[in-house]
Order: sequence, then C-alpha cells, then structure tokens
Amino acid sequence: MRWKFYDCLMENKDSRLIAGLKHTSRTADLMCGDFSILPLFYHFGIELGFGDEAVEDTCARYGISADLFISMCKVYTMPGYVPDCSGFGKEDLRVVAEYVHQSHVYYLERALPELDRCLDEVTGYYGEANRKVLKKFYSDYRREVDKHFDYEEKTVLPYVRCLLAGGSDAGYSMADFEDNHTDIEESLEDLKNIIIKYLPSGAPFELRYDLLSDIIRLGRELANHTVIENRILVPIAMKIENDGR
Amino acid sequence: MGGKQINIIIAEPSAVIAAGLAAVLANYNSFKVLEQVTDLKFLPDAVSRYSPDIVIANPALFDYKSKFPLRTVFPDGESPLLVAFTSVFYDEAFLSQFDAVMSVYDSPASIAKHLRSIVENVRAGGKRKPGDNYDLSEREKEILVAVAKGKTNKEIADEFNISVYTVISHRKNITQKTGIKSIAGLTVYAMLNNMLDSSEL
Repeated sequence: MRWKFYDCLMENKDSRLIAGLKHTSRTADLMCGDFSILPLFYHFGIELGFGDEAVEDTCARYGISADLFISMCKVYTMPGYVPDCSGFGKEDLRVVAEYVHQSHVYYLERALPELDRCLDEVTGYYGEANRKVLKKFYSDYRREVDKHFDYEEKTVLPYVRCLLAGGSDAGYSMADFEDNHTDIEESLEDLKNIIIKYLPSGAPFELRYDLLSDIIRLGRELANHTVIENRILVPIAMKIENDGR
Repeated sequence: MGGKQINIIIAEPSAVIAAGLAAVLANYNSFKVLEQVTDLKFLPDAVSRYSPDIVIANPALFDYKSKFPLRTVFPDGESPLLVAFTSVFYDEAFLSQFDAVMSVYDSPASIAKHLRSIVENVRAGGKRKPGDNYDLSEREKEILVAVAKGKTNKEIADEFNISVYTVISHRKNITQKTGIKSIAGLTVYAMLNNMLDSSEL
C-alpha cells in the first residue's frame, strides 16, 4: 500500500515563521515550517542537503533574488497573499518565467501521467458504462490542461523572453494573457468531489485513496502555480512593458 | 387537533404494560391500537397486515448487540415509525435507533402529544431527522439532467415553464449540494447515479 495521502495530512504549519521570513532565516527551517513549500523548491531545482545555510545564501547559489523567493514562499503558504512587485525587475521576471516553465515540465512529465495511470487503474475495476463516463470526463480535462500549458509555453513564455531581450511584440501583450488565462482548476475540483462523494464501489480501498490524494495535491499545486502567474509574472511583465526597463 | 387517525401496533411482552398502554391510548380518538404482539417474531406479519403508522415497542425485545439496524424487523415496503416504550434505562446509542422514546412514567397526555407530533411531522413531509437537506429535490434532479444533456438555461426554462432566473437559482442549489460546477462534471454525476444514459447525450 502506498501511503501517498500522508503528506497531504501531515502539513506542519508554522505560519509565523513564513510571515516573518528574513534573508537571514535558515532555509531548512523554512522547509520544516510548512511542507506545502516543497514544490516551490522542486521547481527551482534546489538540491536537498543545503545544511544550515541562510535563505539569502541558497538564493545566491541559484541566482534567485531573496526578496522574490520570499514572496513566492508566501504565495505558497499564505492564502490571499498579494505580493508587492514594485521592486522586481527583469532578472526577477527571468527567474519567474523559468519557474513557470519548470513547473509545466513537472506537470506534463510527472504529475499528470501519474494521475492518468492512477485513474486508469481505478476505473479498470468498473463496468464499461461507468469506466467510459469517468475516462471521458478525465480525458476532456486533460485536453483542457494540455491546451492551457501549450498556450503558455508557445505564446506567453516566448513573449516574456522577447521582452527580457529588450524586444516587443505589437501583436501581443500581457493583458492578452490575462484575458485568456483559462481556469483549469474547476474541472479538477469537480473530479475531486466526484471521487469523494460519488465514486462507484468496486475499486480497492487503497487505490481510491491514492487517486484522491493525487488529485488533492495536484489541485493545490496548480492553484499556487496560477497565483504565481497572476500575481507575480503578470505584474512584473506589465511593468517592463510599460517602462521598457 | 383534527387529522387522520393514527394506527398503532404494540409490541410488548408484559401483558400488564400492554394493557395499560392500550387503555391510555383508548382515551384519545385519534389513536387506534390494531394489534398487540408479545414477541418480535409476530411483528413482521402484523405490520404487513395492518400497515400501522406507529409501532410502539419494548426495547428489550430487540437484540441489543445485533449488528443489524432495528428497522430490518419491518418487511420490505413497510416503514412505520418505531417508538420505544421503556421502563428501565437503556443505552443512548441503542435508543437513538428509535424514532422516539417514551417511558412508562410519562403522563398519558404527554404520550399522546408525543405520538401525534411525530406522525404529523412525517405526514407534513418533514424528514425524520431534522437538519440540513443535502439531497436534490425532484425538480433539481430534472434540471440537472437537462443541464447534463447540454440544454441552455433558456431551453430549460421553456421546457419546464419557469423563468430563466429560476433555472439559474436551481443550478446554484445543485452546485451547492453536489459540489460540482461544470456541465461535464454534472454529466458524470448524472450518469454515475443512473439519472442519464449515455445514449441520451
């Protein structure tokens, strides 16, 4: 049995630590304060084993501004937090764009295929009618998600890189992205509710919990990712559009 | 207090207690004791025959340690209210399986009042256990199926002869009760709950 769901349940929240995070705080303390920050470290490629170093040192090693990093930590751990992006510039935009790209890679190469597999396994235990219903819903969702990420990878991120290189694109702007930023969370929420409340019997107990925990984790991670895009990527990019700094 | 007659079956091994209870109930026109049984094995037959509104039973008749809910003693299709008539103390968890609990020490008036009120509550369409209603109403189910089939709010309003505003209001309630927002999600719900066939989409 895989105890996957334990990491959802065992969150250790020390929100005072995150709220009072300083450049000189210990990186390790930050991770111990709130496990939901794990994906952020992962997407930045921060190797575990950073000893007792301070946040500013870890950030320096990875070329991330400590202020930006702390803002992103707060987005991950404090619901409703709106970061102040007035101090961020091109270098920060570069870092955030790379974060967005790395998280897409993670979703498309690891998280979503794992979810595909888990759902396949569960629905394999059902009769044809129920299996078809669930698989169709999920494959529609997958298509929606793939389109969403594709748009970001092929249109938004190249535009951002173009901005960073000092160029501009008359045909596109961050406002266009904001308008077109589709919501991929609603369907996942619905799937989560269906699994919690209306999943037919027939599949093994542990498998159903594995599926649920996969969806809960992915849902939470996608929500944080979207907030980073909307509240950090977009504002910084818009600032650069405006004053060409 | 008008209203229809309330039909009762008494399940009590003690002849004295049964006679006392029947005599108390006989003082009220609204109650009619149709049958008295002294053992559970006679109860299903009596319930089938008379379809009473209430079965007043001595909890001692039931197997305290039984894993099955008490109501399995009633045959299929029959669901009278089950009232405990107690003379000694019983475990609360056990008594919670009854629709009401009365005691031999209650006054006749309070017995009558209690019985009338639980029957009226059922007849008025109230749920036996008061609380929030999370089940979809018949109308909400119809609207849900229409939404799952892909109909627009206007089409649904026309089909059911209601305003679009009412349709939207129903849809909000449906989302609140089921937790499902998207049309695709509602389609899955409808199909998993056998409200819809894949051929109807």
